Amino acid sequence: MTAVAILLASFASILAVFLTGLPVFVAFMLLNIAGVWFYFSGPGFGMLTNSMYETLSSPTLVALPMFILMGEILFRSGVTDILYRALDVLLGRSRLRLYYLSILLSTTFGALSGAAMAVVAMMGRTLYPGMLARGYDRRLTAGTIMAGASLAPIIPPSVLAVIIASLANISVAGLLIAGVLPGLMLAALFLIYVVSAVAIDPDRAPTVADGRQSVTWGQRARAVLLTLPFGLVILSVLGVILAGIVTPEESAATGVLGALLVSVVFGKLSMRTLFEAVAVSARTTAIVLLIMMSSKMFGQLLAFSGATQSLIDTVSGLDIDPWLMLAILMAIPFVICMFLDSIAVMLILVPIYIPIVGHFQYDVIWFWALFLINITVGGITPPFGYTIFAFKSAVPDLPMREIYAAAWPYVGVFLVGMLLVVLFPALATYLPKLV
Amino acid sequence: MFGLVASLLDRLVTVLGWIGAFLIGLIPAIYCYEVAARYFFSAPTTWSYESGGYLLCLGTLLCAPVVTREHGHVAIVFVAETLPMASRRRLESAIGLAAAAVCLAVAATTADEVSSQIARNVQTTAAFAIPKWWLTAALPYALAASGLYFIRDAILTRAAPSA
Repeated sequence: MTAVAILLASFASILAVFLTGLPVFVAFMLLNIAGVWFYFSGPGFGMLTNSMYETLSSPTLVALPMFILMGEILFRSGVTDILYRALDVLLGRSRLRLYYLSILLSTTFGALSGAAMAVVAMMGRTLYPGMLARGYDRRLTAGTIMAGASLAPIIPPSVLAVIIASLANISVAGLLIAGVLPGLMLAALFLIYVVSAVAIDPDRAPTVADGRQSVTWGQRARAVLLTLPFGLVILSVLGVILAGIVTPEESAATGVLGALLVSVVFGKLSMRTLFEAVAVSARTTAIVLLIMMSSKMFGQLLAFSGATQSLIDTVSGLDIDPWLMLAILMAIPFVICMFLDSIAVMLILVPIYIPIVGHFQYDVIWFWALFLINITVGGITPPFGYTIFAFKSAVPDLPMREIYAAAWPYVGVFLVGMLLVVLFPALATYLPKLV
Repeated sequence: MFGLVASLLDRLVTVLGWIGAFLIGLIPAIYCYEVAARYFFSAPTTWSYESGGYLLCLGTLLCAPVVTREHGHVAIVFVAETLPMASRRRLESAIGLAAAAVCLAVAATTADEVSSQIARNVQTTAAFAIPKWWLTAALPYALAASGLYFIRDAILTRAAPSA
């Protein structure tokens, strides 16, 4: 069997096993057993243990549970409600006010939590019903919330960025910071899209500014004061990395400390909240890391089979334009993420992509930042985006076809954003060069 | 007998799951301590960096069976969801048994490797080295307990009355 045939067979096998409904980590293990048996027979199984141990004890991945814990503390303690009310006061009386609030909130929550599903579930339950009651367009509202929440894995702290950096063996700090400007740019693009959509069809926003009373300067000042502690949380993650004071793993720890301090300052932290946050974070970590530990051997087997080298030889023999190759490399996860879990897709594709990225001499931070955005879009790409499902669970009355229709325009906005990052690489590479 | 074993397994998994969560919760405390020790006392530790990895490894594995018990693992189930209920139950039961077989097989191989590590006194390759089996011993536990839960689910799915 040629190496390329092995690669295709492996890829087809893993997809087929996934589709049976076998848990993803078990699916990888099954193929690992088959692969080890095929190449090494019995004595090779010791490698399986060591491969799993290496992943689980990787100091790079230590940031992952801490970023999850940070978001859990903030959301479970309820301090995010304070931020919500403060930003609401600061936004004035525009008739698009709640659209702005939705985008601003999701961007801020993105900087406080690394997981889109938590943000979309919370905003779906809190913001969406209020916006609908005030006459905002339900598709535009749903789309704004889903797309805004999808900024969470792009703007640091980001669980996905830690995973990609760890798999691709690049700087975790670099990839985390690389998400800042693209994330903010995407938030700006969402604003532009909302304003344009309402300009084209004015019925998509209420005719008056939802009847709210005018806000006094005293209320505004108080609202600004209320937002300041959240700046401390963002500073305790982003600021300390940018300043070069701590490693990314340590910044995750200082982020947890910042989240705890903010919850204490607002009098919202209880031991029960803390226990629940730690327990949920540990379980979420176990879910992600079990998949990662099982998939590592899959990549190692591919390399051992010669499939990876053969892929490089094949690709280098194609004499293909690097831009076209980039488009192909981005199109593959974009399509697959419509149907499969984004982490599973990453674990299959990253080991295959690493040598190709090296061969075409793409800037690694730029390429993997694009990949990160691409994988994130998968969360809102119908029919099987996880962010879509999380929103549906928060808003069960909204039909799925409406949610799909709400998501598509924002998928388009994301693609425009990715194109801008392709055309202006400094968007992703400028800040990491400062670290 | 089956009920007693299931109950004991549940208790063990719950207790070890809490210990696992505690270990994960210790990680930020250790890293914050390291930052404080480095900047405020000019006394960086030699153990914090690697101990974070060790705690992550143990914590994850001790929590893994809890996730299995709560059906928390990621799976691509949209094909199964298109099937009629009876066929879906059969598929889920078969998938549960397959998952159990894989987990128990890998648990057995990891147990072999752990006993070999104990016999050879293998240490972790780090500045702050510890016997490797202190960590890897949790692998057979996590996989075997998960395997048992997959078997239990497969049996319960098969036995459940049709809708």
